[in-house]
Amino acid sequence: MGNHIALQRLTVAFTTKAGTVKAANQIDAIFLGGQINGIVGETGSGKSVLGLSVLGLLPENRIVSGSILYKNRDLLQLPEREMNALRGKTMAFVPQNPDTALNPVMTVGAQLSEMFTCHAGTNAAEARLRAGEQMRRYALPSPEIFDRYSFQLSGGQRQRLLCAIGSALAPEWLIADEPTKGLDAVLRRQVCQLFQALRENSDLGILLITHDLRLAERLCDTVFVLYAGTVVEQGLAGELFARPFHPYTRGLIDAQPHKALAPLPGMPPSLIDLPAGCTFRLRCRQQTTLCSQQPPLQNVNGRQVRCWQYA
Amino acid sequence: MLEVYNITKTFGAGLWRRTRTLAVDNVSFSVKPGKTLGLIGMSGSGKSTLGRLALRLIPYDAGRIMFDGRDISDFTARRMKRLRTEMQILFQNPETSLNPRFTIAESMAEPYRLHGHRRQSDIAEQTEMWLQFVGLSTELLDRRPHQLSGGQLQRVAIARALSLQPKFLVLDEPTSMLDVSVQAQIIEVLRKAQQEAAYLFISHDLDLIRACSDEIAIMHQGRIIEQQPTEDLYRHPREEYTKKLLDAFVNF
Amino acid sequence: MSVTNKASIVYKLAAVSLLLLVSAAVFAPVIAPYDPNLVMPDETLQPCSAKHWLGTDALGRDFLSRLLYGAQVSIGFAVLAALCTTLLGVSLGVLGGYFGGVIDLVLQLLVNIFQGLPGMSLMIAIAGSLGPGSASLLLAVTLTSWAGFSRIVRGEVLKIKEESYIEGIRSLGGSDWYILRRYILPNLFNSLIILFTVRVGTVVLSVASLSFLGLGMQPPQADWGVMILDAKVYFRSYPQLLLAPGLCILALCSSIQLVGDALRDRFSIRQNTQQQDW
Repeated sequence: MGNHIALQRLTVAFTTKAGTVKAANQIDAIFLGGQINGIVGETGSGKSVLGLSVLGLLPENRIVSGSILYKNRDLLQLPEREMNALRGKTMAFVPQNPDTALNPVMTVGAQLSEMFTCHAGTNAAEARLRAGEQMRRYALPSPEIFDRYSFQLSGGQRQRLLCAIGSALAPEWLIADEPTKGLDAVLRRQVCQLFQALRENSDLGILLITHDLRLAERLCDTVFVLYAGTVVEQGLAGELFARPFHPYTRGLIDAQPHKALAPLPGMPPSLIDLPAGCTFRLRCRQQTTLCSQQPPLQNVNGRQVRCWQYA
Repeated sequence: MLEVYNITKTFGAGLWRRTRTLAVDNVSFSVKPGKTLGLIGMSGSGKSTLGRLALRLIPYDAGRIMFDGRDISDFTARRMKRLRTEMQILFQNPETSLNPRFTIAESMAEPYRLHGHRRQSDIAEQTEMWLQFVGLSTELLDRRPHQLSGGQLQRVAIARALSLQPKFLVLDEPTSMLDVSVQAQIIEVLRKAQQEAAYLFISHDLDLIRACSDEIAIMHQGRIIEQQPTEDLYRHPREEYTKKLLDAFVNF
Repeated sequence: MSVTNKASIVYKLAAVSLLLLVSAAVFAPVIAPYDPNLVMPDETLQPCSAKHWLGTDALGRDFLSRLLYGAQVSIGFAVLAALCTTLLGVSLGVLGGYFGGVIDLVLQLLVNIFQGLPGMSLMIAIAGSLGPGSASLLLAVTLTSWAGFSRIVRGEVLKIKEESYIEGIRSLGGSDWYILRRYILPNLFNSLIILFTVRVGTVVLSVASLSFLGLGMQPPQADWGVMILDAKVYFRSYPQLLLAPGLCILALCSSIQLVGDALRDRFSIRQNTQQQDW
């Protein structure tokens, strides 16, 4: 498809008072255009950082190395002006938490129209028209909702609005950060259907960052499992969830309430104090002396796993 | 253990309380010792309010509450205070449930201070014991909440609630802000701690409630529309809303 | 704590000057070379000399001694007045904020009334009608400033009251007084430090203004404001008579504010978890 996003040896760290936070360590990954790519991880895994890196939205105290290739350009080397042009038009962002991501003092219609007037150079009247169309596409009752404010919408409507704004300019990529966080089951289902519709009706590539395994299982084509800043397993979603290889992936899947609700002992390591060797070593029931060395990503039947068991 | 009859609660907003919202509408349920009643509802169903009403943390407009065979509906604040050791609540957000200015040791000592036990050595011993019970090391005692993770904080909250050895515990979405693997750890601790206590487990995650509860009550718009033992509910759901809910989880 | 090296020099300077000023106030009786009210008619308006380090004023009183005793009066009174305002403002703010309902409504009404009255005019009215003197001055200053205080405190209390851990303590069996004592008041500390220190500065200015108008401290009492009043006539030829007390007021206000800032930074406990979810 040509619009793959390729991460090559991406390393992102942040300097903080408490030390250097190593949020991403030598990540190699290819996100395929036209598909839903899932980045799955828990708190402290570094998953949000990947999304922010692609969009060039990392905070000031960052130390980045490696490259993010998109259509033969390294996004990390692009000057800010070009990144700005890319954001919104080519790569759109659907942030977490619709309650705080929407401007409370602008009407819903205004926020959506803004996309058109600012980035597509349309005049106000046409922008309003296109905004109306976009809203209808996302099952938002236009024109009734047009002049309302975001706090007057329900949670599900807000989430749909965020997606509407994100995809307004028909971007090539949509990066969604935890779209179901804090939403209950009914809303989660709506969001899921929303993304499925998105995928079906366009060539849109989606990067779905989430800790919700069921969502990832349902929606994603490919899944990247992130632990303490490294990819520990990646592969086709269906197979990965049915037959996980890496001990962490297995543990994570088993910990779900509709599976065994089996706890994983211990806690993820602090990104400031990463242990030597395999990052999962201290919590792994199958650790051996080999694990004092960080294993490489191995190809096992089309799945990539970072574990000595499969070397 | 806890029996609630016809509880109704209306919230009024505005200066003269003119806008009224019926949060809980004529709800009755009971929880027996050693058992867990799962209360499931979506946002706005009134489940959190019901949890607090059951503990008389907020006043209700009508109904009766029986605890351990006694009618506590009209107990004064002083009598309720003595009862507080027997009925506790665990909150959803571990990061705000402890005073940020207190160390963990000080927060853990609160229940003892409140109920008259002041011997420092006793308190320290008990605190250590409960921390170990929930799987935390005593080196956390001198830290403050902002230095602990969500999972650790929730364990501290559990340890503190348990230190009073309550007979009834309301769990208000105790794991909804925690990661999947941490959630499993917390549930394990809660199971270990239950013994003869009665649990009211409030959540919006039906899979979780199914795994943890003996009976499930479905709450919608302030009413309990259906209540059945767990597996019976899955095999023979009666109400339309229940079926819709089951579908959203099972066929997700 | 976000005090950088450059900024901390400023704080250290502030702390030092505050210490100097307070020491001057406390040790005035010991270090002042002369009685501040001792009139020496032969030595009026003397320039700085070995005998009178800062010269003398129009009545031949040793200027340095007056300045030192002035520190005692100004700072002492300011601290006392700030304390009174704090006590009144905090108790009413906490009562209204915590208990709500009718109490809060009534207190809010009072606050609105008092805040609506123009401060300086009210002070003049009170001081004027009760007759000049420290007592009426204290009353005037306290009555005009407690309302703003109480409003801020009430806002803080409302915020703290909603925190989950307050509900937690209630569920553990904590009574209202227990919660107020152990949870609400300590958490107000951060704001109180700032409010208190700012208030001390404001009081000094208010008293100086009132004294200047003749309604504050009465001569011959050595108060910086009175000294500025006295210097009004002579300052063109003898600027030090005006500049010295003025600079002292400036030094007091700024140093106490900076020190308050630093204390708040030092003692504030991080409220939010530091974990950024990467």
